[in-house]
Amino acid sequence: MSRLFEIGLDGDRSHAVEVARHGDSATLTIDGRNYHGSLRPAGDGYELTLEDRTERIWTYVSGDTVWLHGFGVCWAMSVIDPEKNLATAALSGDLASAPMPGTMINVGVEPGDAVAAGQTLVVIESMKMQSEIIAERDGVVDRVFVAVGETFDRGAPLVSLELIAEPEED
Amino acid sequence: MSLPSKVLVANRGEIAVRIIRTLRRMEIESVAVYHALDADGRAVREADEAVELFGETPVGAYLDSEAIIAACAESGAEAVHPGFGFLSENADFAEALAAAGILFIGPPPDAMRAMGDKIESKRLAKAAGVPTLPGSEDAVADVEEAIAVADQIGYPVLLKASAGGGGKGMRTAVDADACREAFERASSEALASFGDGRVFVERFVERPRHIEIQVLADTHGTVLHLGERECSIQRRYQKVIEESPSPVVDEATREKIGQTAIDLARAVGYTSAGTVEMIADDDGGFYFLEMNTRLQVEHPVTEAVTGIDIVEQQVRIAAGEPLGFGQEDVHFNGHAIEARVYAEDADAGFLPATGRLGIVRFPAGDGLRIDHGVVEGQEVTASFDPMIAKVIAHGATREEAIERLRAALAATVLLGVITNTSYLGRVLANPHFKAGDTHTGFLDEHHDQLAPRALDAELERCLVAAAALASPRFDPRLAAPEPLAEMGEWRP
Repeated sequence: MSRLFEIGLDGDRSHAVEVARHGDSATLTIDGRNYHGSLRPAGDGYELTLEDRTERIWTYVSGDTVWLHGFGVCWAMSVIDPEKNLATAALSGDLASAPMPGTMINVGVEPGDAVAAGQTLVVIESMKMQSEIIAERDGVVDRVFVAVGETFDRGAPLVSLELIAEPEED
Repeated sequence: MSLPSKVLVANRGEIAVRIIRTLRRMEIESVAVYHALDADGRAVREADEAVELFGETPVGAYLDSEAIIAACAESGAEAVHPGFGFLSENADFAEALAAAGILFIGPPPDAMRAMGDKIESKRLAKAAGVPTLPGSEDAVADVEEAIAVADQIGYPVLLKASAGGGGKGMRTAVDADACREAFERASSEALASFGDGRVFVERFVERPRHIEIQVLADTHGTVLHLGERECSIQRRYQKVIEESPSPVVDEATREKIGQTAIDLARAVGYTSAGTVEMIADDDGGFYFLEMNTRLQVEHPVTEAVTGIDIVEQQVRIAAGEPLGFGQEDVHFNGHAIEARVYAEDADAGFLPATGRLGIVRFPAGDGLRIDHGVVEGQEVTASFDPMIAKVIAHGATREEAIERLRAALAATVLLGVITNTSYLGRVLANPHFKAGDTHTGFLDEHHDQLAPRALDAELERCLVAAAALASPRFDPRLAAPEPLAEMGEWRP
């Protein structure tokens, strides 16, 4: 049995999911109930079987977003590790970057502010889901790159912290 | 004069691909131009040859007329098709091409200039006998004159920038106070956007339909109309769904408004393909809006119902050939509807979306035409217009065209970027749309009805299961995540 992940549909409703694979099929535990399922290549896409239902789908995985086409509609599903809380992410200690494209909703800091590890820097919205971008370490805000209402691409810098000066060598 | 043997297409994306296809069918060689962002694009792949453009911005590359003329010299292209947008309505560009001995596939520069200014074009339309909305004859000098004109024609009024477009420099006013504010906002917005703050006033039509007439004019004095298109379904003053014929235009009306469009085209010495845009009110009145001196995005619906390739006619007219048919040879067959697929989140205020198109699948079928310019793996950036495809369905009746288009949109698979395909499907399924009860405020008026419906629990469970089975997160063999999956994670 794999670890438990949360899967959100277009950023809205979230489901707790575990997967135990046996060969090319699997037992899926979705919100505490077990289902038998499989996903097999078919034509130029896939065939999903869940219990006695079979659907033709297309899928494209990009990081923690699983894009799906099913029932005539495209969906963006987010796979979230509740332990790591991937939605509240920073790329490195010095720079908080956008985990996905989106819009800036709230900027809680300005250059010069002292922040503590775990403190919320900004709030972004992607695919209708709001995420807090938090400071990975204690430090001082150096720059805020995106203003409220502006959009950005995945990986775009959002907030940087001042570099911690290395002790100079004699 | 014979047809050019090689034509440069000064555009990108789906329209460049569409023009190249007609050139190939006419056995004319094609030259694509491209900015580095489009180097792997479909237009470059389909053209016989391609020349790179360099610009300070990606859009700037396609606006660099000197570089495009140099690309003609380099490739030996004898003519340029400008498509729409970019340089298509730039009279100076057309003249610069002529000076370099290159054919511009479009109207004469004088006609482009005359129609490029909203005040001047309205004056010309009125003189040619085209109905216009009551309003100021010229730009109003100041706020007081704007209010005086508004008092005379009656509220509500619309204040419009003469150089305007895309809804910029346009404000409505319901009384004198609102008119005061609207004048200031419209003129300052127009000055900022177009460097021209002139504003005029006209009567505001409530719940108007946008109806436009396609004309074709050759250099031998033949001017024809190819019927109307209704383009009332708009968001932010941009068309989203277009159809031909309009549900409210009968044959007699078509002849009448078609003839006014022909009269205007003749009055300005127009040649090539052009479109006379009008607004229609609830009482059956049609009023001149503007004339677009180029190919329109929505031209395929006219091609579907008339069987006439408008791009081919543009090339032939530019080469001096007479139109080989008359008005009596233009027949209208069935009904066609086009839906514009945009990379945007329609449910979040039509916010533009970006990303990598990981999966691209378009359907094929009876009466279906897909014009698109994307390839799998392509990045959709914010550098260009967010339109990535047009899906056009033709049927014997409007109902059949709607059903074919709905099915085609449901079978359009674009993964990796948020698109409006399911939103378009919901518009087509809306009972008011089906009834032909459309106006330019349709999407706002029916906003709540057009919101996505909640999925039933079983379908949602299928999607969740598919995502779990597709995600490498759940696969123990992939416990060490790939670099892409790692992006955005905490790092130790």
